[in-house]
Amino acid sequence: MGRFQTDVEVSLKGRANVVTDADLASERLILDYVSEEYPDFGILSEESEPVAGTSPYTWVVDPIDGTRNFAEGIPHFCIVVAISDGDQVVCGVTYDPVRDEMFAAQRGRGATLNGEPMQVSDREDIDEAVLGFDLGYDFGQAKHLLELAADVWPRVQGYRLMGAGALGLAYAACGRIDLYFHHSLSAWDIASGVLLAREAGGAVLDRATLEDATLFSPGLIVSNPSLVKQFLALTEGSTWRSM
Amino acid sequence: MAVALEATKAAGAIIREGWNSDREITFKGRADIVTDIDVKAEKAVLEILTSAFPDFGILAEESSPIAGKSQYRWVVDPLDGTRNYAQSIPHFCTIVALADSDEVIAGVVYDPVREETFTAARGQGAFLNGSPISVSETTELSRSLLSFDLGYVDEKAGLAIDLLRSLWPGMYSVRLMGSAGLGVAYAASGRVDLFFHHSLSPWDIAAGLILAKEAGGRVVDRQGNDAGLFTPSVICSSPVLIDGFLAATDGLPWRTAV
Repeated sequence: MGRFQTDVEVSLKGRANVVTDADLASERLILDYVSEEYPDFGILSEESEPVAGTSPYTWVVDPIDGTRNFAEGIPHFCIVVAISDGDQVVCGVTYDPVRDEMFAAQRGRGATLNGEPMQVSDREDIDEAVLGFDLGYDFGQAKHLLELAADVWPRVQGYRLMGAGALGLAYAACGRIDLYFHHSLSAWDIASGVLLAREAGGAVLDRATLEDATLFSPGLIVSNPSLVKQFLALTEGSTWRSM
Repeated sequence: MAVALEATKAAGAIIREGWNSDREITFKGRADIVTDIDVKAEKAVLEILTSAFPDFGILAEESSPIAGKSQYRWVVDPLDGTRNYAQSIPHFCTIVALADSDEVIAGVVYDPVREETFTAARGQGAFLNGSPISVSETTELSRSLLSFDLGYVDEKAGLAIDLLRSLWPGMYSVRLMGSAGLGVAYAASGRVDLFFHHSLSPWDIAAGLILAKEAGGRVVDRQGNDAGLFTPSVICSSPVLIDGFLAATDGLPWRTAV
């Protein structure tokens, strides 16, 4: 956190994708720790090459999700650490160090926010819902997302675009956002979020297949089953759905 | 300034206290809500302000305006980002500003979650928790992070989304975080490169006007003229990016709609 508001060295991975030296330092710290505790596990982490383990389990890590926010000084980003078994997540945490909020879930054991049980939104009507999303790094796909947002408006209550997909998923899991959707997330972005939302009673669908999302689903729609259904109806036929 | 700070802290305390309890929500319009906490926080703020300066007028979101005997008036939004608060999204603020007739001469934006206080006074610079802030140094819109909020008029919100659609990919990315007060403060401090909104009330923009100015930026209306307390549509950024934004959005309905 000491890194946060001092000048950070920002290297550009792609036009809109940045990595900071804090990402790398954070990752180093996390990976050193987890691989010492569980040396047999594989590693799937944003800033490193994947490591195959001898165990069926893999650490899935995003050392800073919302790196652009971090680099700009917007205090809204998080750390994701999860354990997967194949394409299923068995436990995961999403931690917001600014607000000191820890979202955690274990398969079959529910989901918590700072130790308190949490549930997805119980809102029944999508026209009263606040929808969260983020643009992602593919400009062509983001275009269709903006089109969708424009077409759906004003049949929902509001939107939130906060810049950290993993926090968006965590917020959907605890009902702060009624529904979260995205089209191009990586495994390390969604690893804990998928489990958080599911263990919080939510439906977590793969955007393309509309089946239950896995660790490798690039796109997600997350909410209570009723709102997911209404969202699918509202977005039927859009390019965002079929791209 | 000391009084304004005291008032915002008092509001912050009430807001934090109310955080974990059930909220009573009343709808002012389709998407415009007020909670019991807004009202309580405003009462606390006004008590502090009026006992320190009984002659000043008051322009506050949840009360009727009070014409004071003095040329000065307080402009107050006890909880900006009410929707976020109601949904437990931890991103909202208290705004207290001081105006001399219609000109804002001092302002405070206080985020009680992150304990961040943005302050500015005429000729004295702009600060975040006491450290100087300035608007973004980015010169190209294509590398800029734009921020906006939807507001409470559906049609205008639609035009804002359409604007982004038309502009894309002519900017780096977009943020929509749910508090215009924090949006302007973030633009003044360079956390976002530019903030725009189409339907702000005086208490939403009051502190932002002085923050941006003292931070080396501008707040303009959709025609590019300096915005004031009663300008509902604003663009807040560095002069360079404002020019870039105006050029890139020339002719779009958001710019020209009544």
